Amino acid sequence: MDAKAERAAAGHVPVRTYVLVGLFLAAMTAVEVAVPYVGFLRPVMVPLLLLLGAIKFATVGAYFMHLKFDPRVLTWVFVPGLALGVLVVVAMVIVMAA
Amino acid sequence: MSHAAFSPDAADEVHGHAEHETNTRVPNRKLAFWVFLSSEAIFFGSLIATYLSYTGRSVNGPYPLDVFDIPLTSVSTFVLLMSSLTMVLAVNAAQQGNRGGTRRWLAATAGLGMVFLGFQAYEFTSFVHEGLRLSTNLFGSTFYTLTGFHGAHVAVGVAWLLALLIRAFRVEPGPDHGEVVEVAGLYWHFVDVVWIVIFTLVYLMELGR
Repeated sequence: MDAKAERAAAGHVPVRTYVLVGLFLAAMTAVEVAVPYVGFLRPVMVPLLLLLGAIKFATVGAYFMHLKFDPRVLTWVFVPGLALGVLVVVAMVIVMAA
Repeated sequence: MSHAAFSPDAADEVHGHAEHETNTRVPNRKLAFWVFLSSEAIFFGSLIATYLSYTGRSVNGPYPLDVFDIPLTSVSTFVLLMSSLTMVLAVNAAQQGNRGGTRRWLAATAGLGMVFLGFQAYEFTSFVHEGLRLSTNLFGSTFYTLTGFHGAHVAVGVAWLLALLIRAFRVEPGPDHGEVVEVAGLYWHFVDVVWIVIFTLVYLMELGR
């Protein structure tokens, strides 16, 4: 196995990938900011913003925080707390709306 | 079962890890930090839940759209996002043993973090000038608590990065240097990710109300 293949197998991510991910996140942010100002998107604004936010969250977690390339145990450690945080938000919004 | 026991394997050489022997194949420090981040997710989740619960329930103003400057906050969001990119480049440089690159990208990340804090300070002071304080109404209480705690996390992150930067100049990097910078990177990316959520739920959603 040559050095490049070894690094790929070891989870090394090329710098170019990080830069492309950064540009992707910047573009997503621009789209997010534009959504509330686009008239025909108003009816779907909330789910669309939530979806875009979730995509950005997952992208940072997978690539910048390296979860995509690290052992799965780290994902299993983080996800329960994240899920509980989301559950608290959803539960409070439902209770207060009622 | 294979162990990264007494001789570094390819992953250790690439990532600049100290030799370690764990059955999770993950350094204990990194695993413990992910547990901490999991608890931080619950912490910020509860603050966000409180903000959303009280949205639209303030008896008196100023209200969010009276004070929010979305274009300005969009710029600060972009700044924090780019700091996440410079942070991952710093981690990459540290893991490659590139001292110059590590210093450059750590400095860039700390600098962008300070720019973000500057934007936050400007935002808070302009809101106070417009009559929104912590005790003014429900919006003031929940907004300042949520974004204040986030700002405090960013400030701690900046201090951490500056400490790493000073260390990068003064001390010869040890075998765990890559891991040390990587853990700081995890904290910084998490702080960025929390802001992604806050920007969406607190600022952008308000435009649709």
